[in-house]
Amino acid sequence: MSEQAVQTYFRGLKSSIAQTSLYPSHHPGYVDAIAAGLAAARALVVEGGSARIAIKDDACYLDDELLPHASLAFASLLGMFLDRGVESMSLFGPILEDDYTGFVEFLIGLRSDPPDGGSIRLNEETLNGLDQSVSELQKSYLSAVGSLRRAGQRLAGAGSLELSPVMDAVDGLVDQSLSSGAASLLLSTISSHDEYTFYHSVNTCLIVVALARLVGLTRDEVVAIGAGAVLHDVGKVAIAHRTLNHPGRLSSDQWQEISMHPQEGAQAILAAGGSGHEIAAAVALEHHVRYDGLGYPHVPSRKEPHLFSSMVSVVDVYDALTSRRPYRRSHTPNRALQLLLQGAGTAFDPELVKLFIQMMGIFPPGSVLRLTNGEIVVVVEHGLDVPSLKGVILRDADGRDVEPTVLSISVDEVADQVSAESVGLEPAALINDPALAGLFAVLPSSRREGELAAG
Amino acid sequence: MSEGQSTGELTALTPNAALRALSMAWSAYELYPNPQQQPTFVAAVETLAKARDQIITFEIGAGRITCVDADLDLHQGSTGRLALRLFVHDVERLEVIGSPSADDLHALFSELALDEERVAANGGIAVALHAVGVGSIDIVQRGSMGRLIDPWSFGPVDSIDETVADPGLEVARGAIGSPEAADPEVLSLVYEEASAEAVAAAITTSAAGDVDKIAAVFISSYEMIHRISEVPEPGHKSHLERMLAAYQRTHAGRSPLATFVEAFFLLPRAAQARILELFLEHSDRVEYRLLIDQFAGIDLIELAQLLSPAGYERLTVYIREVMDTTEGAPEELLPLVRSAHDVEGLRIGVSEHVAEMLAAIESLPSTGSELRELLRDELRPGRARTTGLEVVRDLFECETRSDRFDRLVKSWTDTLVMLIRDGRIAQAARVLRQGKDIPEHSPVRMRAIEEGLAALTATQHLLLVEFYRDGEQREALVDLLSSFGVPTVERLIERLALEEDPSVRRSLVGLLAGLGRTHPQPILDGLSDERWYLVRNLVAVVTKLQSREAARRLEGLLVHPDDRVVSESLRAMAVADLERSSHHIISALEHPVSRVHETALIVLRTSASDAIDAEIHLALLQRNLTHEVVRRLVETLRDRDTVEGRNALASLASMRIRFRRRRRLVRRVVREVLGANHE
Repeated sequence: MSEQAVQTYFRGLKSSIAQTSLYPSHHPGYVDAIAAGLAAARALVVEGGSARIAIKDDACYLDDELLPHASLAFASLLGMFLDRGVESMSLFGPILEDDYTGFVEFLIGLRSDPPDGGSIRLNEETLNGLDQSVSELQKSYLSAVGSLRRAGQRLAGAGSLELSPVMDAVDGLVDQSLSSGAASLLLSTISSHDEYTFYHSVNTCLIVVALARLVGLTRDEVVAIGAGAVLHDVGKVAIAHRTLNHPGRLSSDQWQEISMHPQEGAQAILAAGGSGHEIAAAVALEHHVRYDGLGYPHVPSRKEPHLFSSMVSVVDVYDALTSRRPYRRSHTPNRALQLLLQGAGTAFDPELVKLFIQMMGIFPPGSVLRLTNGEIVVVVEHGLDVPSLKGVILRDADGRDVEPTVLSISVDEVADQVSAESVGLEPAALINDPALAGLFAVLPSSRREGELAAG
Repeated sequence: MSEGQSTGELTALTPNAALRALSMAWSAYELYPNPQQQPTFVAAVETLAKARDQIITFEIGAGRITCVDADLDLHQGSTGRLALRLFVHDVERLEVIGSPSADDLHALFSELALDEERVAANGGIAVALHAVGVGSIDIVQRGSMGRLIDPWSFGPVDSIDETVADPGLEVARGAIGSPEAADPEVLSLVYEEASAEAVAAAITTSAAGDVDKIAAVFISSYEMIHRISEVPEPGHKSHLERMLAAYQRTHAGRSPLATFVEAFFLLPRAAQARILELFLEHSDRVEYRLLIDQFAGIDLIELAQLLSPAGYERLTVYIREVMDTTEGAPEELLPLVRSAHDVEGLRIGVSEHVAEMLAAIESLPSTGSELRELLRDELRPGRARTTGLEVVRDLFECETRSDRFDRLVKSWTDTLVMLIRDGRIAQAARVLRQGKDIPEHSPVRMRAIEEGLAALTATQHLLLVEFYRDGEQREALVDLLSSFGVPTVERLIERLALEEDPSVRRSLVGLLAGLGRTHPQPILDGLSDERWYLVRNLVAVVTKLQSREAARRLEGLLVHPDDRVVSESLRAMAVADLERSSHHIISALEHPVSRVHETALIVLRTSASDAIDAEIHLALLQRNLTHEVVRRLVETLRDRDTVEGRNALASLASMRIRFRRRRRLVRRVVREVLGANHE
């Protein structure tokens, strides 16, 4: 069993929940979702015969083993479990369809009682020895996603935004980013299918913070830009979910709807007020304005976007390109950088593109490379001198998993870059690997303070 | 060839014309969000309308379209793109039946534009078109490709169902993992560096020309070359070990890969397809992957068409990995795959790519520390406030939706309220200007803005009163509210009418007086209101205005049925222009209501004008005044103690009266006021 299997199970569960909420049992959407979810559940227990999943303190565990990546990527699903009082679930093969559908119906409230004594049992076993926990960086990440989610819910419901929890979350991210720079860039490769906007916003923030630190801004200045980055897409809350996730080409009405999110976000942020809201509002309004003045929204008297908005633009596009979306697959990091290069001077500020690529490297952290000897490595760090990369070997030449080993790689050793999905890897999961603890060690506080220029 | 050719009385549509029309429509769909409204799309539909009862059949191949009834012109780029999309969606045949409507075409293109795996998961294009009732375009799809790669799965590709067991393929598959079946003759030729032709010939001879066996011989020989250490049979092992040893001594370990690659292309095409199919099936094995990596993309294009659906899918996965992309069909990508004879070639490719990127990066400008300083300047606290104002202005300029504009105004006025509440009147004024002082505002928008501001004052009047009473920021507040516009004054006037608290009313009067300096008209218009209490208060506003023009408008109120209005009007007129209003004041001395003549008396008494004495004197002589009024006037003259006043009193005290009771009264009162000295 592996974290990937659990993630597949969670994914299937989310789809089953969504379809059960929408459709009757004879609907093809429901039938397909249940079939896929059931298959994923069965796959989880096919080898071992049983599986125990527990949720505690924003993290989930499989048979006492922390699943850091799943904890992040499925935070909302875990929250749903806890809301329904599910702190653990035990799956026993073969998973029966009635038990699976009963569990789904219980989660969404169609049933008041959970499955009883079947192949899926809830809260029957307490798991001991949960001495692992997600890292502080991941906690900050989760906190930021949660703050953004709640802010978005409040905006959608009450029509107003409360910024202070979001700003607090950005504060936490900045601190953690300072102490775990390499890990924060790796963590930014995480994504969520149905909460894309929130995860994308936090990822953008993490990368922008790193870029701002590289430029040499003070902590307060970094926080100000970070807040703008984390809120840049808050206006999308006002856009219908079906439009945001529409597969394929957008109609002109849908395009019009989506193109309004900068104004929506800026208005909401201005109305919220508070420290730093002006910068965040400007970023929200300008992050789709191109370097050459085109883009949207169109402001007749505008001269050029603010530099900090342009910085967020570059990172926004990079993360969007490297994220999987309902309407297209993700680009590899290197390909995303190529696209940024192509747009330098027209869509993007060329200086910022240069700085960004220098920070990320030709093969940014999270890139999955096939070496000339056939090994598969994930880039975890690079020096500003491009020929030098630091990577972690994860697969040998025969494609077998190996104990993660850190090594320095020269570009000459790289045969190819592949997408993480194609080889079934999760770069962000590396930050929790005990074998790599030294690689992502927290910096001493004296060095953290020294990294930021004096205010 | 003409677009149509006559068949009797009907002009039929030629396949070329139909294909051009389809291509044009597809091109319009690719380019525009509203393709059905594009002229090219409309023209395409009109062209296809000529099909009437025809059925035009197109066969779809790998990047090409053919028609059994005609030679097709495929030079249009859009035709090639259309063909590719049809191909990746496993369309084998497309039939145009009759006249497809614009909606029919749009439905087809909508499906073509989607991710092919997604469409396939839902049954394919044919199913999709049938579901929406498209009958004018018939799609015949190729055989099922099995379950496709789950794009959301992080795991390896699930097993792909083979559709029809191919006995020939099974023969070749039997060679997988069976190096012992390698033909020694073939191996010896490879070791001896025989030509590729000789090796290919040996393979073909060994298999007696049977395509499936050729593939099997090739595979087993290839496996043996790469796995000589795992030869199971002792006999073979000794023989092959000897050969390998000899080979290695001679060639210092040089890979025989090139020989196999060259020989591969000399084998029958069907055998090549078999071999490629199986190598793709087992591409996780290094030695198989090594061979495939040697092929240039162009080499594989022809073979791609001979693969089974499952093999084609595996080729797609392989090519996308090679090209470092997650999109594209083999026909699009294969031409871009460079030939690589060994891993060194691949490494060069990456190095070249990196070098190109580095050169591109180097060509970009770099400002170093200037960038930091520019950013820091943008982020400094004082600048941030300006940034907020700029955002306000930008929002007002770019918001085009009327409902959203109204919401923007509401949000903006809420900000103003917050700033006023915090005592930041100057900042509120700046925020106000950002939203209001935009030349591009249409009259409608300006009205909406002013109405929004007026609504603010209506709901926040107590806040405004509080600040007005404060005194310190009174003028700033008045200036700010003056900038709100006329509707604000109107709203405050209405507030004044409704306010029950006298102290608040007084403050509102003062506030309106301040606003009236800029916007007097609403106040003057309000003087015609039916509510006397409002009119009276507005007259008080006019009093504070001290405007002659305004005062002139009060003359009409001197006959107002409410005496308080009359009194207040008198006072206002006197304050604004005593000389002009003195006649009215004197006339008011005869008003039957005491309040009114009392007001007139007070005005006369407190006036500093030199002309007052003469006026009073005249009034005493000519007006029909009560005893009390006479006394008050006389006392006023006395107390003013002017030369004219004293002369008037002396004249009045000594005037000879015959049969004029009124004058007798005046004389008596004057004598009483002046005392016994005056007889």
